[in-house]
Amino acid sequence: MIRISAGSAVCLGLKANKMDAYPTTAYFLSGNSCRMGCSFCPQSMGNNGALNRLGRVNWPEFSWEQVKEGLSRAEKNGIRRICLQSVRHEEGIGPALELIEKFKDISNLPLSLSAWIKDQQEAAALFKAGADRISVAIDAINPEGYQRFKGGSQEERLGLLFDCARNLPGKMSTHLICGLGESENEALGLVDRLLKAGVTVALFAFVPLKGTLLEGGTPPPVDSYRRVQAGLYLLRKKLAEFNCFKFNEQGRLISFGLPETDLQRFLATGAAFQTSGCPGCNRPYYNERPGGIIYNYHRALSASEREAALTTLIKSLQKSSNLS
Amino acid sequence: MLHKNSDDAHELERILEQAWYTRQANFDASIVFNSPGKTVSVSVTGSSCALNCAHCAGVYLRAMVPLEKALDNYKNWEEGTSFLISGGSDALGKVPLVEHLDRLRELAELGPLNLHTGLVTEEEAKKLAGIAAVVSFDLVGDNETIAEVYGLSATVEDYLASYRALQKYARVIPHLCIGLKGGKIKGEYEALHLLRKEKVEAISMIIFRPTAETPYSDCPPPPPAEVANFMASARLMFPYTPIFLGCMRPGGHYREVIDTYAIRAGVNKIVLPSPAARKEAARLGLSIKTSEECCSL
Repeated sequence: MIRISAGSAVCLGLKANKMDAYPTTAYFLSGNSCRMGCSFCPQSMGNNGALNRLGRVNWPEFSWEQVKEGLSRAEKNGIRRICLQSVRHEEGIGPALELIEKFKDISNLPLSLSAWIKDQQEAAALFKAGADRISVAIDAINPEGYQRFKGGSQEERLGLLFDCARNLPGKMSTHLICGLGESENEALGLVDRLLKAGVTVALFAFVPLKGTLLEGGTPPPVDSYRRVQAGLYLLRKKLAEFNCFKFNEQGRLISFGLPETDLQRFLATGAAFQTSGCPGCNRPYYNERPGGIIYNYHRALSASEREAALTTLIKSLQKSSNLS
Repeated sequence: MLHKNSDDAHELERILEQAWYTRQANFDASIVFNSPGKTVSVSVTGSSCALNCAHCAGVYLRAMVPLEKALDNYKNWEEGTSFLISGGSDALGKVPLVEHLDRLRELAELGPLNLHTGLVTEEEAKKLAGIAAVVSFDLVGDNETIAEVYGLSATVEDYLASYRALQKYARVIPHLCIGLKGGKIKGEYEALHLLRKEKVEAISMIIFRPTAETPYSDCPPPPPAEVANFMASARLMFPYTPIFLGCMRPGGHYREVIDTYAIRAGVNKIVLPSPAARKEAARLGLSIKTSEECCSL
């Protein structure tokens, strides 16, 4: 048996729900509880929340036979990648290795793995088994937040990620969560370092989940998230340079160092506000309820959505530069 | 085939569209196709070069006319001839033009000169400006690339200082070689960021072309989609600046793909366009103007 995100299950034809957004990656979850104690995550051993959840999403279980059949029609249903998210198992990377091999037997889709690895040798073994990309999730952006919400040393995890990226260029990803006490300066500074090291960055907004230690928390303000999203996009596309970004004393971004007309032109496609990360990953409604503010658009934005996101962003820059 | 995956392709399509809108908004609906039959390439060092860089190793000098021969043959040059003046470099990355200043001044009587200078001091820039119709200056945005390709200990700052010195006295067209570091894009975007802070009249882009008998002969040219993203980004970053696709780029199918992308990315001139470029220009409603000179002239 393996757990599949509810949306992916529909795309694989394993469930018949009607949805207003379909994933372009099939998301799988391996394991039932995690050795890590991340206070934002329902899978964490320290939380007594719903263990059938990761992020906002439900992960019903299916048999391997069903998965095999489902994956045979996945591409036809718009699935372009498999994402295997593994809890930190007692047995280390063994279960992930086995699963990758199983997936490779039944599907040609590229596979991304998000798992806790202890060293570069483990990453190499997972790639050898058939992983296309590996994510070492940093999640918490500043070192204090990392210590507090995940436990352990961020420096050590980043060190491993950078080492892997150096030796396995273009193959490493990470996930970052905005809204865990970091400043925008810290967020974009880390993003810049990661991108320069060749790490793909997937950005998320913190979402308080029932049953987790942070269930009473609040998501980041949308204007703040838009600034970080825009910064990530401008840096990733090399349309701007981090050393030209300006922040106020609180670390809030007040300028990208670009005239407004340039900013409008650079961001006009709206791509900055779409889900970031591995190719093919769109994670519909991972950060937000359908019908509310969309932090990460899972599809191209409409003209009015683009306009709204850009207006929020540009107004907030003017406002924050007035504040400074 | 050209893309690692369809997301990259989708993202590229959108950035190309945006570049195209930008071009439409700021330039008329025409494009220049150059076939530089009237420009003679001249080397001031014959076929010798002290650097023998990884991408060229002096190979391209062989087809150039030595300076003395260009002067001796003055009767051969018709009305309207222009001269691209280059040569091998000295060990410091300078093309020894000042050393040949008098002879070059004589040549300048016969037709306008497009000087490829390499690194210059302000003093040299001032002297060269007196004979140059235009200066073509290769700007590199990455120290590692300078070291690996040219074997020089010069830095990006040195290149920028030379550009500024030339810009002060002459018409300068910065040239960016996409994929200079053995086909890899490294420092090209940084060069665009540097240029955004400078006075720029036009930008000429050339593309690394693997050449037999050079250390980079086995390196593939940069992936077309990455080149396309670069050209489109340049258009977005320089919405009002003419952008040229220069003569030095790979041929064959690659050239067809790149030329098509270049037009969609909003370039204003293409040297020796492939048939595909003509088709794409027509498809996008661009009228074609022609020139028989180098793109910089």
